[in-house]
Amino acid sequence: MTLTPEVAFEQYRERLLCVIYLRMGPNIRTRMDAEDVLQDVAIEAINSWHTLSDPANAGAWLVTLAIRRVARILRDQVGVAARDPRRESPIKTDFPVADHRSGPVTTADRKDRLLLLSAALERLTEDYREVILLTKIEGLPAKVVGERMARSENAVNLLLSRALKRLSEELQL
Amino acid sequence: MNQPQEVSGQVPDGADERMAQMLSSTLSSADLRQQLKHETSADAEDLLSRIQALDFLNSVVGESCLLPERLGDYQIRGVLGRGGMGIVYLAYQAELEREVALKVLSQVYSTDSTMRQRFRAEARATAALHHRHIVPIYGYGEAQGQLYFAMERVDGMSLDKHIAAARRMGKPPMAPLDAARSFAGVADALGLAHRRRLLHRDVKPGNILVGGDGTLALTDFGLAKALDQASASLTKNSGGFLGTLHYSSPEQAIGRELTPASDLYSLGVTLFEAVTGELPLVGKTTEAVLQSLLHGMPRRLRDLLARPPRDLEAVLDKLLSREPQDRYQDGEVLAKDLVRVADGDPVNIRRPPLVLRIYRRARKNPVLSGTLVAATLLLLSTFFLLNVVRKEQGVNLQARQLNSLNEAARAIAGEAGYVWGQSPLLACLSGATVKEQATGQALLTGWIERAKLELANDARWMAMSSAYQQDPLPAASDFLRAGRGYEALQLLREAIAQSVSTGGDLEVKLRLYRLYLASAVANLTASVGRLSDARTDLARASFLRPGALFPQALDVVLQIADADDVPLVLAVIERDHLSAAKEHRAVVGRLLVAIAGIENSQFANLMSLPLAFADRRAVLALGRRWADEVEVDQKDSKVQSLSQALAAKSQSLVLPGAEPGHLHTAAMALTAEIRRSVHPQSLLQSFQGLVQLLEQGRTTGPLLDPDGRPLSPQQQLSSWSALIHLRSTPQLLLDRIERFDVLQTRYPALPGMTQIAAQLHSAAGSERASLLARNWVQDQPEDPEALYCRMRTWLRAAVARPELGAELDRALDDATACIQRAIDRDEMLDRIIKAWKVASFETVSDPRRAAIFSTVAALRESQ
Repeated sequence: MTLTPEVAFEQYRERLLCVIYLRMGPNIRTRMDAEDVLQDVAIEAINSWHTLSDPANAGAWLVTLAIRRVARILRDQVGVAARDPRRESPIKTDFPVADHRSGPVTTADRKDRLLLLSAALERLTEDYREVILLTKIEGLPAKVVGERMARSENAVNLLLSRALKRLSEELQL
Repeated sequence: MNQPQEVSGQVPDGADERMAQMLSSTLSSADLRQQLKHETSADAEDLLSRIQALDFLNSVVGESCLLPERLGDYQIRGVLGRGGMGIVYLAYQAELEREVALKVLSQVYSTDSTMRQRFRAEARATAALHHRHIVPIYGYGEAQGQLYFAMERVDGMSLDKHIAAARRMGKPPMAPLDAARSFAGVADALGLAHRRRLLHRDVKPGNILVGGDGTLALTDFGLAKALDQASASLTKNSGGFLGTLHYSSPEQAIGRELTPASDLYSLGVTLFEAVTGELPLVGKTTEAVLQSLLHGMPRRLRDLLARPPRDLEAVLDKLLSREPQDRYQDGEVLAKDLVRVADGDPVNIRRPPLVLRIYRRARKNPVLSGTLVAATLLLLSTFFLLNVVRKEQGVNLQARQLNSLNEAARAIAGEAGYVWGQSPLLACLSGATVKEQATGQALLTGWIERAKLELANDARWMAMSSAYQQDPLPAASDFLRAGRGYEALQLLREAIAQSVSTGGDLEVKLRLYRLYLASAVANLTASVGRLSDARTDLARASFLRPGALFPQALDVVLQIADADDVPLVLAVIERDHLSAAKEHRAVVGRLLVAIAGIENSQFANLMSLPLAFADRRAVLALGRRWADEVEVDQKDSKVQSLSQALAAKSQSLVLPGAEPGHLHTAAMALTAEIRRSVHPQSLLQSFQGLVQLLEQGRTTGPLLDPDGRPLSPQQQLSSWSALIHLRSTPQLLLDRIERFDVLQTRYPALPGMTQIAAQLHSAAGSERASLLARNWVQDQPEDPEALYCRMRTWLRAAVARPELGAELDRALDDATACIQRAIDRDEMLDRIIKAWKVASFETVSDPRRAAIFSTVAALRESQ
């Protein structure tokens, strides 16, 4: 069976949403909705599906697309004069009861979890946050993360182990 | 070297290393949990918390990125869908050479015994049913710590996707008769399940699969529950709401006992959606849906389809009855009826009797029916008065009509301000029903139609009606209600630009007021959220209609947004509103509740302010207190009693031989004001205040309501205003002016106080009149009424003094300025000439009389 972009996208939907949401940071979040960015990523994925060499890498490929997309947004925001945060307000897009894909409880719950997680991550130190984002959210293997963070593979796992401990404290699990 | 110390300089403890090991290995968190089960050390606890963090991360991200290659006998080929409990994979069973749908319990729940039991219950429930329209189950098992069961792979999509696709293309998902035939199968399947004492409990489009040939198959008995077995407690104990609200029956929504009729209700909703593409009950928030589920009436097919099959509509009406006993009790019977509908055979369903239907309609929209009744009574009472006046002064009928139309013009102006200043705009922020607006529009259209009939040649009417008909506000408010603030803003901006360029008379001024107000509201909606623009718009609106209440209410939002010290500002706001009408406070209160954003407020569209939590709580507390002051349920009866009381009072005032002309004016002033008021109830009290003022001569103390409590200062002020409109004699006013002065001393800053004080003193001819009139002009230099009032005081001063002074010149200056600024210049000129004539009679000095005469002549000429 050949993998279509729609199927792959549906499969990684939640992960992509997390990547986008968490990478956007609080400032961009107030003026842009992660779901909108996700839609853009979906379109980009469908258009450039032919550039994907191995369907087994679809997840990593999609995550890369999402990260790039957010990076572009962040770059575009640089140089734009800072706006008064009091003028900003989150755009409400969640109409939980209208979601056919999953029940309202699931959707609301997932959204809540994402909010909790992003708040908890904000309170972690830079390297803890980064290691969690790279390994668990963006799904990169420890080796690649090690190269990114200039650390050995073991050190990455150790760092992640500690980061998880801090995270569980922050989440009060 | 891979020294662990390089991480952060601290020595790793045992748990750190064990966790790191686990992370580098292929052990799943479930495996590690298993290992830790028997350990009691502190390390184990530490590790467990890390694993929990890991599970949490996984639950947020969704399932692991990697598809498992195999699960038991099944080779995984892709993902078909996701649900709350897990994933449905597309899998291949090599032995039987067939593709199956493999439902796998999510790893997050793999150690949760309740979820495991529920998963098993679903498999068992489904396996117990053999039916052409139920997706059959092939096998059940556990592999790599994951529970799964295999189902037939239906080559198609789920009904919700089918509906969504049709909706995108803007056409109904299924033809009504085809849908009836297809759903007959599902109804029959449900009938079978019910006969096996099994409830599905989650019938919805997502759980119905559409096969390649269009047949429907029911799936996902994930919430299924045995009707009478012990396992019934399984889904109940876990608490929370199970199922999807839009498709759940009223009894399911409030957690009552379910019956087969509940499943059939859900099937009815699904069928409705499949035929129309829309749900029978709509609401943006969970609360709104719940509300309409429990108290509203579902929409009918004819609301959405041009020519729906009547029998299908009858079947759906029966299916969507609120009371379970009114619905079908048996899926099989329903299936038979649906087949009959599809074949075009008659279906024997008794419709509820007419009385019951009317009662349900009225219950569906109490506000609308109440308002309609009230509006009719109000109009009747007004026309009754008009009729009396006409009979008394038959000769002057034509003049009367003109006069009444002028008043009606004011009423329309007031109405317009009311209609667009209050309910619909609030509704835009709140997502409330549109019906209220329709009533307001109907009233307005009625006025305009009547005016056209009676005064067909008057160009002003044409202008006004066309201005109203080309009104961008209905479209803008539609946008606002849909959360599309930017589009509304664009529409409003264009309209404002157009209005500003066309001039400055009555219609334009009012139009601008409404446009600016709507624009302010648009800027305050969540989709736009521009506080500073809202502020500018509000300032403009308040300038165009000083003293209007709705801009003041919105201004409270801005005050809180600006506040450095929210509790302090709240205290100030509370103090400022102490003397406000209760209903005004309720409006502000509801806005405050919305800003607080803690409660799931009905003001879904209002922007949320970045406030600290403690501040939010304080805002919420005040808002709730004020909002609760007015009980919504009593509103209708109050409106009704107001119109009844008005009619009764009018009669009693007319009968003792009061002068009809004056009564007519007073009644008109009151009707105009009724439309401006926040709540008609307060106006009723003002009216009662007026009656007190007329009946009591030299009395002091505040005006009282029937219970003997003082009326609010605003209501008292309205009563005084009505007294002035009555064109009472100076003596009558002088007798009562002391009472007014007490009110003014206590509430000098009340909106409209300066104006009414000046008018009252001037009409009474008191000594303070000139001072008060000057104050008024100082306050509102552009108001022609203020200038007129000051002119009259100059005239009186001129008349009172024996020698010729500068007063006449000043009066002439004021008269000129007044005419320039007047909305209706001819009318103003008439009034001025009349005032000057009166002055000429009163004066004792001949040269002055000559001067006045020449001025009057000059004014006439200018006319």
